[in-house]
Amino acid sequence: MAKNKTKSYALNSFALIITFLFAFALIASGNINNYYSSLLISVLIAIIMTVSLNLTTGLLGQLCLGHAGFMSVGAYTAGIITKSLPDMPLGLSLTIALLAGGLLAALFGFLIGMPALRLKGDYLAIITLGFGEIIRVVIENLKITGGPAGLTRIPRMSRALAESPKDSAAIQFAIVYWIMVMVVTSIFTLGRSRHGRAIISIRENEVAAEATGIPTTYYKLLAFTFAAFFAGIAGGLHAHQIGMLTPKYFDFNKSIEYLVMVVLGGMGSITGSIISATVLVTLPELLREFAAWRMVIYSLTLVLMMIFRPSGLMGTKEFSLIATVEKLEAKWHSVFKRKEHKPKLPFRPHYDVWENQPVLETKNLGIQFGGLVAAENININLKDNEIVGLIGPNGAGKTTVFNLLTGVYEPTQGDIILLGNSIKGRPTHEITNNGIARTFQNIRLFKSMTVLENIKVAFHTRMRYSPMSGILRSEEYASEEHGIDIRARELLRVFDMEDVADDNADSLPYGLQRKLEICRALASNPKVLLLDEPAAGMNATETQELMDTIKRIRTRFSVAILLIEHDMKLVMGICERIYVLNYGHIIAEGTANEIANNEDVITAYLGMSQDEEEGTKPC
Amino acid sequence: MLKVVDLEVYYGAIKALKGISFHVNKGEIVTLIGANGAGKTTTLNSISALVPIKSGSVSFMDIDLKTLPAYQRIYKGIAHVPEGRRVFARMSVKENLEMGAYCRKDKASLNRDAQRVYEHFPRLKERRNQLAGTLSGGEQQMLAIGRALMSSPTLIMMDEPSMGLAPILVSEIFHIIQDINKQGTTVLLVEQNATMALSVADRGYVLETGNVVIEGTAKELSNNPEIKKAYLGTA
Amino acid sequence: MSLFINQLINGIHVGSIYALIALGYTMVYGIIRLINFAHGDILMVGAYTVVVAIGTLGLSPLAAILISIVICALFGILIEKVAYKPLRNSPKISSLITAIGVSMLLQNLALLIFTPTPKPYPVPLSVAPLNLGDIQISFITILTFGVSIVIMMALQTFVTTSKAGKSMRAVSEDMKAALLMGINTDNTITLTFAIGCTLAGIGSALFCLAYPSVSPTMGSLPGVKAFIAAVLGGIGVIPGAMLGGFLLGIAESFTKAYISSQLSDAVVYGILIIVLLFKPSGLLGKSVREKV
Repeated sequence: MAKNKTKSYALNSFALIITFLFAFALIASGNINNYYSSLLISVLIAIIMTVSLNLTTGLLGQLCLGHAGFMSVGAYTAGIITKSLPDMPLGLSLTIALLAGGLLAALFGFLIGMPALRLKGDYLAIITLGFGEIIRVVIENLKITGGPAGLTRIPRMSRALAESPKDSAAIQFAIVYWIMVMVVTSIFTLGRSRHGRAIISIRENEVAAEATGIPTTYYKLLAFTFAAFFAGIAGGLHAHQIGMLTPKYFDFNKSIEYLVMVVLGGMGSITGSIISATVLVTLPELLREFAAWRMVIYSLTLVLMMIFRPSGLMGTKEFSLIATVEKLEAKWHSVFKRKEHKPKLPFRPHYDVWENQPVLETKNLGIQFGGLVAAENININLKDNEIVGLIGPNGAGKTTVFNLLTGVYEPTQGDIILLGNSIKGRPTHEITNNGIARTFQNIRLFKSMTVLENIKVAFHTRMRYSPMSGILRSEEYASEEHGIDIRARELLRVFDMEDVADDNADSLPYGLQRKLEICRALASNPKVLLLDEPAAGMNATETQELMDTIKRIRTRFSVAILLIEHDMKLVMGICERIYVLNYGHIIAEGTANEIANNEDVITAYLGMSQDEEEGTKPC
Repeated sequence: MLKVVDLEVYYGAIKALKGISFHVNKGEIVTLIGANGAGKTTTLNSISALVPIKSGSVSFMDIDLKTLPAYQRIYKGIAHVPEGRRVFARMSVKENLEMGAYCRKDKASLNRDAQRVYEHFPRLKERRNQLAGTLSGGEQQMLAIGRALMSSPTLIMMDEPSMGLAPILVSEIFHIIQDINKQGTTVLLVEQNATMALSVADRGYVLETGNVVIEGTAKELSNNPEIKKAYLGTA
Repeated sequence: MSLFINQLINGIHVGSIYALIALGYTMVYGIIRLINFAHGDILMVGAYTVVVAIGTLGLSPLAAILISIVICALFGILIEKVAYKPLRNSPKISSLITAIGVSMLLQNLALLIFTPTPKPYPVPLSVAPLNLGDIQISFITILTFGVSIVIMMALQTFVTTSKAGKSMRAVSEDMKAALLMGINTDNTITLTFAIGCTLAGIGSALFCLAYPSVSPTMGSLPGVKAFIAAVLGGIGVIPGAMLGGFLLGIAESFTKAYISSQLSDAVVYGILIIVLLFKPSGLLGKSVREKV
């Protein structure tokens, strides 16, 4: 095993170095002429663009049609900087210029990411397209950027290391190649860190991500900012490769070109992005002989490709050489540093003893939607380790109460007290981290992630390492990831689910999916667990098992449980107390027996009294 | 009337139905019961051609349905109340019912049927100009059933009509199912709530992982100790 | 003052064209949730059809325009059947890329057949403009405005009251449920494309009467603008497309007159961004909150 890892580590490094040396030698010796070497560099730049766009479009799942805009910001910034620092050695000024270009582009990415907080899908696409175009129009109308004519006489980057024009192509290649390797590796490792998991969880199910404690706002902006940063770097490289810039180059067709590369390669697949960027940049050039026909062929290929392989070349898969980068890096630590990282087990937050005091309490809680009262004067409380039911007819406002408790809706009246503190108006992910976790009526898992990863997302806030240590795979990253791996598997073991740990969540049978959702909710270490119709769609036997599970959870994880359910057998069987909701009001509260014989409840909800319907199990 | 023979359905590489055979006679209420993932919904969807059939046959009133496209099946008299109601949320209750009658041209009897639906579900009449999306879950279920009735079907297939409903509504829905049946419509009922389903059905089939494992009259099934243990929760 | 009113009229003229094209966008988007990037290029198809019909076949302008509208509708149907239908169950983004591909294909085919040199639109229209003091309203403006208003109202009536219109709405909400109602969803989608592209064909004629220059890429800019108009008004909403089109046309014409003609595109996008930030589903769109 260890030998295998070392082998693949060696293999990957060698592959990178040999590819480099091979191309470098060909260019330096003049075996590849200038035309092809600059084509090669264009490919490398396109790879940076595509892989970085994959971060927003593939991993975050937000359609972005303005990526060329970021590139232009980076390109112009970098170009203007090196031009205005003619006395500085180019090696230094180029470094400054590339970083500054990247950073300014990142700032734009941040700004453009803002609407992404409110908009999704096609609407976001059209807004990013708009932003990209605005950037272009502004550049076209500024003096400093040279207006429509563009920016010329930008120093070529080859001059950073050598003055002789003969070596220039090879040196350009070397610079761009290694920067490309750094960018791709960074995005790859970022994608595999807790931060990457958080980003992917947003793509999979935003509501669930927020409810498992992921600050979705932060991560959306993070993804946009990083993607823009790398696009800015690519722009800077482009500027110093070509030596001149025109605003027309960066119009929305350019953005679309990169989007096409991402989709054709496979959304979320970095290898796919690399391959498709290579092919799509080279293809039109190779077709140059067919002059007039080449764009027709190109567009036809596009359509046919999508019809016959709609999820792209690679789907979401990665080529194994890239996948082994991960192993390669693990070896780095064990082989070169010879240091075993101790797993750092997540600390269990300390909750005070709340014996016989309510852990959760609402005071006259209510909400109106545009004048319509959905819930009013809701006063409920949960004591420590209590199982409480919330029942009522459809449309009575049960799920609304859950949404109020978890901050999905902000209450228009009243207050919510969790462990002695008001949580009213707090964002959902904070409430989750303060001790309320929930499940959903219609299961919301991160479907294309594995069972284990679903749990790990919920462990997110119990890790501390930064995006940077995620990218660089620091000691902190290694020990914390190792720690939550152990914890997540432990948790799965409690639910007898360790053997499906590496299966995709959506491949699980229905019953296990429900169980996984509960398991994920518990991973955020709640004090209060809200279950929304956990028995929906289960038959009598499954429901019986669920009842046992719920009881077990209560003692094992010492949580208070509030559950919405229509299955009276379950509610009556395990709830110590029951609240009945009707038209947004609590109409009754009491033990199972009291509720079953309450006249109001029978008229509004139960229909016949329970004795008459002995043995029936309404679903 | 409806005859399903050796029905096999695949989802990608997964075999969802492994050769199911059953039949429904005219005037009956037949129920399919079973656990999640047993293939109940898939069976209904394949009868409606919402999912493609790999092998086996479905015939209705002695006509093989193999080549009949999905949208034409309602013209033959098969209505399907899909799982999760699937009403047209941004259309009014009235418009939803009109869509249910899409396949019909006879205006006069159409009005009669609309009246009949409103009789079954007075609440829909009250809300006939409201958008379907604003109805509560129970009302949406009623609308979904009403919509299917508007085609004046000979066979109505219902997929989990009691799912997610308050107990008081569950018994109401089952009463209505019996009423519909008494007025001459044959019913194929898929239910998780086996107790209720067997209490209204004439016959039933138990599905387990894509196979029919037990079949019989509702009475036989209710008294079968295995079923009692596994599906009725009364050992 | 008269500059203001003339610009307003100008804006309404351009806006009417945007609105017509936007109606097609909105209908197609409404039913299959696809930004049909090739929609703008249908404009170009219509324009070249007229060029060929008059220049090569020697038909009368009216016959040529009518034929071009039919050809546009046929193109719409063809594109739907060949390129979009096979992708109906694929990820949305694949359809989007296909639409981009189709748009590129149409443009490049035109480039191959007709060369990049713009051709004049061969329909002369010499009706004296209406003079009201300083204010001049051309016949084309009146025609364009009238046609687009009538079409919008007809379309709205069709969608809300006719059986086919209602089935379109049903399909756009839930395709499978619509199938169960006995609606032939394939035909309904085809019909939607046909109507949308017919409108694009009409828009093409009106556009070319105003800007009589025909080139392979002539459709892409009005296409994008029309899409923005549709989004601005609330995509899927017919009066919304109309409102969006007018707003966009007027904003553009005022920016050109009072600020800078180069910045007009930036202003258009700026308006779009601001509107969407405050009303994420457009001016007349109903916000659909994800149910938790």
